[in-house]
Amino acid sequence: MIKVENLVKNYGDFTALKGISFEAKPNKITALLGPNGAGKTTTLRILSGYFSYDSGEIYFFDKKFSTSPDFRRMIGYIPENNPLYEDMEVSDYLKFIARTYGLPKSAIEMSIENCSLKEVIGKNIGSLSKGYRQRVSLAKAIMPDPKILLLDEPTSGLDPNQAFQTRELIKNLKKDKIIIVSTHILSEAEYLCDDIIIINKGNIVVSGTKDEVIKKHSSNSYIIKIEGKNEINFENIGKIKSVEHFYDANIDETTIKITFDEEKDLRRDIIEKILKDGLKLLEISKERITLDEIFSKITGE
Amino acid sequence: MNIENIKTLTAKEIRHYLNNPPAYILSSFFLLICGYFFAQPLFLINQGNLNSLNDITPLILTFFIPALGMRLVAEERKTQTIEVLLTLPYSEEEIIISKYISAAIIITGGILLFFPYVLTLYFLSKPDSGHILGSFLSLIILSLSFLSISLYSSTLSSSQITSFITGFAISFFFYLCGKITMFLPLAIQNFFSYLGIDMHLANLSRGVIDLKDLIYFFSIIFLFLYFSIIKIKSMRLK
Repeated sequence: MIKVENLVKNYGDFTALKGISFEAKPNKITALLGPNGAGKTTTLRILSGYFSYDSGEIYFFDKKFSTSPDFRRMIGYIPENNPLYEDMEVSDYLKFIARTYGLPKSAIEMSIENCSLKEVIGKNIGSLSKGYRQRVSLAKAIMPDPKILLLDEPTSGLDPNQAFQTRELIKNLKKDKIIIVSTHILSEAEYLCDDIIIINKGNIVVSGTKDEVIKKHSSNSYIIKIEGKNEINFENIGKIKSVEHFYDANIDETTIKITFDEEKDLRRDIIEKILKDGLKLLEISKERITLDEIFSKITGE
Repeated sequence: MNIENIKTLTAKEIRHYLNNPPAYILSSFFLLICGYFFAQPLFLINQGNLNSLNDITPLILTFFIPALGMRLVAEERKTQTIEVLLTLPYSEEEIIISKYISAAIIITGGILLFFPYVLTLYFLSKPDSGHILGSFLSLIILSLSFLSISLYSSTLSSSQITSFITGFAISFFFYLCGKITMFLPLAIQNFFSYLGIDMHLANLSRGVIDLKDLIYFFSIIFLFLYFSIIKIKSMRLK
């Protein structure tokens, strides 16, 4: 497990991280979300051993963190903007990484296979498309089979197909690993990650499992569509927080958005009430808040 | 420090030099210019020695070595691959020493390419072999000293031009120190004379290997390598 406690990082007078604390667990993908300049990249750079920090504690599997090469052996890291040695051939680069970690040839072959790099193995990295460059970095990061994978915006700049393939690849890697992914793409975090941390202006504003976060920020709201111009009284179902009716004369249909104060799922009660009142129910759905909405609400952007 | 790590990094750096044109272009220019200063006394005044070359080469090296070494760290900073390198399991010492060794191999190789020129002296005259060997040794050790300075300059900026200018300025300072002593107050003349390369190089190029001179050059090499390591370590603190 990665445990971060009261981590502070200053750049001169500017405090990039104001004492953040979080945990990242094995077999889980943790998303690090936040607007630009929130402190995501700084957090990953500290965890990768690239940057030092001013105060706080970091533990990797209960061992106190240091920037020593031994700690860096545990980490596979893709930095922001995916820097690579452009003049090297893919094969030379992967051989260099294998020699760095003292790995056999089979490790290179496996990473080529896992990241589908066969087609470009003899090409210069500088001539590759963004998608392939990302795969080369991923191959580099996973080759030593590290316990920790830190990925800073791994699908940034990729086309939808490349992004999908990269996401699938990352998702398949989480067994026995701690993966932390920093991303701007909230749908990606929602699809890929188990745990979510939202950083804003150097502070963690939300953290927890994806379901917890969504549940915590969701309201118990329902969208109901019934035929005709009707108003229903739901008061005997639960404690109502708000209710809105919209009648569309063109299709002779009323849409009702009702929000209850309690958390209990009330769909069954609502349906029973509508049917009991002799109305025709066309549609009912529980409103589900997305990470985008939570993110906008919290970061104000 | 792990020798295997140094070997791996050195091989990568040498491959970079061999896969890119600057090392070839600079070596060619170096050989061309040195060839001119070698051939001039040979053909014009029938003098078969390396004196003329020994006089001019230090100045040439103040330009060529920073040009060859400016990329060592500056390029990694510019392309951000320094983040890749510093997050791989290498120590800062291994990174700096490997970069130094790789450039030192390229430079020494470049200087040894000059050897066929010198062989012509043996066909045309009977040169003093001690003097020839001393000249080569002085050339190599001076290059390695300037390389250490250039490597340090390269850690100071992400701009290769800035690194080159800094490397050239520091190297030129050491070149100049021994030459301006006559304009300095008597009290500091000896100090500047010792600080400059002239005094130490004169002995070596004559084939006289004095421990004092070797200590001088190795001090420059180790001091600037140490500064480079400190600078790379400080990058983690930014």
